[in-house]
Amino acid sequence: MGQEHTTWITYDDRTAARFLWATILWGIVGMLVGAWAALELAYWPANAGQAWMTFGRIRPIHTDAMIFAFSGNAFFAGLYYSLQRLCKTRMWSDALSQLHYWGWQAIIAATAITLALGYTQGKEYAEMEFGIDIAITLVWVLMTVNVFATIAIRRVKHLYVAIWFYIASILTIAMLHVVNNLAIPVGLFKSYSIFGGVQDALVQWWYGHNAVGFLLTTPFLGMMYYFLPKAVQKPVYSYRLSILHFWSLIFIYIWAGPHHLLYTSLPEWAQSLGMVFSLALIAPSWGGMINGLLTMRGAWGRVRQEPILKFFVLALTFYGMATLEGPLLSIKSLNLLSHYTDWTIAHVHGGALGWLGGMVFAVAYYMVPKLWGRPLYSQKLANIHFWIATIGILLYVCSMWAAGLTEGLMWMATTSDGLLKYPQFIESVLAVKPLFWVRLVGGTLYLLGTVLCLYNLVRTTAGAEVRDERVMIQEDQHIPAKTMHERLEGRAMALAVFALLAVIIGGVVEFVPAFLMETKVPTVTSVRPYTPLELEGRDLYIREGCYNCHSQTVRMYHKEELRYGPASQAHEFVYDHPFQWGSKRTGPDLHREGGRYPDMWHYKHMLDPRSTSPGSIMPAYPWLLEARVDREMLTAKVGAMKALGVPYDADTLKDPKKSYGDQAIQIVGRLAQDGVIVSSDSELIALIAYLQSLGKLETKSTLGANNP
Amino acid sequence: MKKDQDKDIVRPYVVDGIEEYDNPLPSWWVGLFWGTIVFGLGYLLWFHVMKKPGLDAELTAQRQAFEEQKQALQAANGGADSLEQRLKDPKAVAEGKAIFATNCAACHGQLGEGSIGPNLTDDFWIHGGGPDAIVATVTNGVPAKGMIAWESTLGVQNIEKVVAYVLSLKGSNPPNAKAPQGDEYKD
Repeated sequence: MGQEHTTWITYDDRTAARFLWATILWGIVGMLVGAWAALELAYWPANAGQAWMTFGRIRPIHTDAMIFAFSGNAFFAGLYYSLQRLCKTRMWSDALSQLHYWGWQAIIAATAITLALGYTQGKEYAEMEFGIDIAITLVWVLMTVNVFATIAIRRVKHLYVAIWFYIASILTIAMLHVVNNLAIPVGLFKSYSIFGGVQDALVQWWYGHNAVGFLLTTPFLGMMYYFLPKAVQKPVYSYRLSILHFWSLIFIYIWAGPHHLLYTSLPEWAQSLGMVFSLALIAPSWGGMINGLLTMRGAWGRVRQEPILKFFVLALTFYGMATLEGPLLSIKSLNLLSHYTDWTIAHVHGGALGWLGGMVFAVAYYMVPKLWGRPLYSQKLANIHFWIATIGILLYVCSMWAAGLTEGLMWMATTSDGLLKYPQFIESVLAVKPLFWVRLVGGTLYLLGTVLCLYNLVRTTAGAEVRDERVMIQEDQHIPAKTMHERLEGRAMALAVFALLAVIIGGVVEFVPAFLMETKVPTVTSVRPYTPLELEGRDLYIREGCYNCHSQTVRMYHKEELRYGPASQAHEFVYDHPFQWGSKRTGPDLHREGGRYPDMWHYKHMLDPRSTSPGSIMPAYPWLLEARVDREMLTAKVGAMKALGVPYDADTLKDPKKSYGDQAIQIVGRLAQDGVIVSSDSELIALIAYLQSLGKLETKSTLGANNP
Repeated sequence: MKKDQDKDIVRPYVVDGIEEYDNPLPSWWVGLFWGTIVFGLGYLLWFHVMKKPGLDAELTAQRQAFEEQKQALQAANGGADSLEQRLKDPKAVAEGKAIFATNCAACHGQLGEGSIGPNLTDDFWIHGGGPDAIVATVTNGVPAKGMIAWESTLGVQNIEKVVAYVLSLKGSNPPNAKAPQGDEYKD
C-alpha cells in the first residue's frame, strides 16, 4: 500500500554462460563418440584393436555423455538463467554455483576416463562406479540446496510453472540415482549392486526409464515454459493445461519402467502396469506439446526467419512423435516385434536429437545474444544448422526404423513347417548392415550442425564478456490466491512435498510386491551360485560391456525358444548382481549359451569372431588371452556376494583361489586337447567359464516349465 | 464463427514478462487422457483380476501347437522310402550342402574336415556312424560336448538332407583333416 519498494539486483549470468559452453563442448565430444560407435557397428575394425575403443566401452561413454554432460549441463544453463529471473533474486550462493559447475565437469571427465578403462557397474546409464556416484550425490545436494535456498529468498511469491518442473526433476533424479546405485564396494573401483536378478531389472528400468523422464524431459519442459513465451513474446496458451499435464506427467511417468521388461520373467502384473501406464502417458506428454505449439499462435510467420523458433518447432514435433511412439512400443504385442531391435535406437534418437537437441539449440541461440549483449553472428548459419540437423535426424531415425523392422521380422519369421526362417542370428545382422552406414551419415550430419553452432556462438561472443544483468526490482504485487493450486504455487515446500509423493507412489507399489516375491522363488535348493572362476568371468563380461550388444534373457515366446532355448525363469537370475539382460540385441541372446558350444569354439570366437561366425561384426578380444586375473581380489569378491545373500560354502569363502584353480585347469585341459596352450590365469579362461555357466545354474532343472 | 483469441483470458500473475492464458483444455485431449486411463483399468481387470489367459497361457499354447505340427511332419516324413534310400537321394545331398555351409561349417570345416568339432569324412564316429545314429546326434545334439540340438532349428527334413550330405563326404580326404576321434564304423 502506497510506499513502493524498489531494489537493484545483479543476476549471476556467468554460471549460466559456463554451463552453456560445457553443454556445446561436451555435446560435440559425446556425439563424436556416438558417431565412432556407429562406425564400429558398420565397420568393426574401427576400434583399432584397442580395448578402450571397443563398442562395449564407448557406447556407455556416448549415452552417459549425452545424458549427464549434454542434457545435464543444458538443464543447468537454463536453470541458472531462468530461475533467478523467475524468482527475481540472484542465486543464493555464488560459491555453491561454482562448486556445482566445476564438480559436475569433473564428474563427467572422470566418468569418461573410468568407463574407457573398463570400470563400470554394468547398469545402463548408471555405469559409473560407486566413487563417482557418491560425487554425483554430493554435487547434486549442493545444487539442490542452492536452488531451494534461492527459491526461499525469492521476491515473487507465485511460483511459475517452469519452477514446478525444475523442483520435480531435481528431487526425482536424486531419488532414482541413490536407490539404483546402492552397491557393496569391492576395492576402490569395483562394486556389486545390492539388487539381484529380476529385482535389479525392475529397479534398473525404474531408474533408466525415469532418468529419461526427469533428466531429459521434465527439465526441458520447464525450460520450454520459460524460453518459448520469451522467444515468441506471446502468453502461454493454457495455465489449466500446464497444471494438469504437470501433475499427471510426473505421477504416471514413474510407473512405466517395466515396459522395458515385457515378455521377461518379471511378474506379469508388473509388466501390465508398465504397459497401461505408458499408454496413459500419451495425453500428459502431449499436454506439454500442445501448450508449446499453441503458445506459438500468431507467431508462425516468424518461424521462416528465426532459427530459435525453428528449433522450438523441431523439438515440440519430435517430442510429440516420440511420446506417441514410446507408448505404442509399450504395447506387449508390438514390443514383441520391436524390443531388442534398432527400433529402440530410432526411438531414443528421435527424442534425443529432435526434442532434446532442438530445445538445447533453441535455448542456446536465445541465451547467447542476451548473455553477451550482442546479436547472433549469423542467422543464416543458424538456419543452415537447423536444416543440416533436421536432415541428419531423418536419415538417422528412418534408417534405424527400417533396421529395427527388418530385425524384428527376421527374428520372428517362420517357414510353413513352423521353423525359424532365419535360424542364424548373423543373417539379420548382414541384412541391416548397409543401414548402419546410413545412420552413420545421419549422425555425422547432426554432429556437423553442432560444430556450426559452436562456431556461430564463438564468433558471436568473440571479444565480448558476459554481462551479469542488473535489473531494478519492484516489490511483488500481492495478488490473493483464489484456487487451491494458486495457494500451492505460493508455497514451495508444500509443492515439493506433493511432487515427491507423486513420484514415490509408483515405485513403492511396484517394488514392494516384487521384493516380497523373493521368498517364493525356489532359490537355494535349485540354483547354485557362480563359482569364483565364473564370477571373475562375469566381472570381465561386465568390464568389456558385452551387455551393450547381447541380452541375457530368453523371452516368453515360442519363437524365442526356437532360436535360443527354453524361456528364462526368474529364479535363474537370483544371484546376478547386477542383472545383465541388456536392452539391444546387436548379437544374439546369451542366456542359453552355456554348453551350446565347446570351450574351443569360445577360444576361437573371442580371438577372431569371424572364424566361427562368418560376417560377424563383433570386435576381437585378443587382450583377454594375455591379461592375467588378480586372484587376490577373489576373497573380497565372494565375501561381498555372501554379504548380498549368495550362499557360498565355507571352503569357497575361505579359499576361493583353490576352487578357481581347480576349475580353470579343467578348461585349460580341454583346450590343450584341441591343441592350444593357455595359462590358467588368463582372463579368457574365466570368461569362457562364465559363458559356459549361462543358463546352467539350475541343479534341479525346471526348464520348459512356465513362470509361477 | 468465434475467434480463438476472443476466449483468451490473461491471468493476473506475470513473472519476468511472461503472461499466461487460462484457456480451456482441448476436448480431444481430455478424451485421450480419460480414454487411456479407462483402457488401462479395463486391461488390468481383465488379465489380473478376472485372470483371463495371459503370456503364460499364450506360451503353453504355442508350445503345444508346435509339438503337434512337428509330430505331424515326422509322421508324414519320407513316405514309402526308407531312411537309407532318402539319404542317397542326390537332390537331398545337394540341398544338404547349402545347409551344412550355413550351419555346420563353422565347427566342422567347410569340407567336413573338422576343426572345433570332429572330422566328418573319416570312418570314425564318436556317437555312432550309422544313418540312424547320425540323424539322432544332429537332432538331439550332445550337450556335454558342445554339439547343438538342431531339431527345432533345422527340422526333420533339413536334418536328413544335411546328414545325406555328410554321408556323401565319407572318404573324401580333405586337406587339413582332423585326426580321427571315436570308434571305427563299417557299413
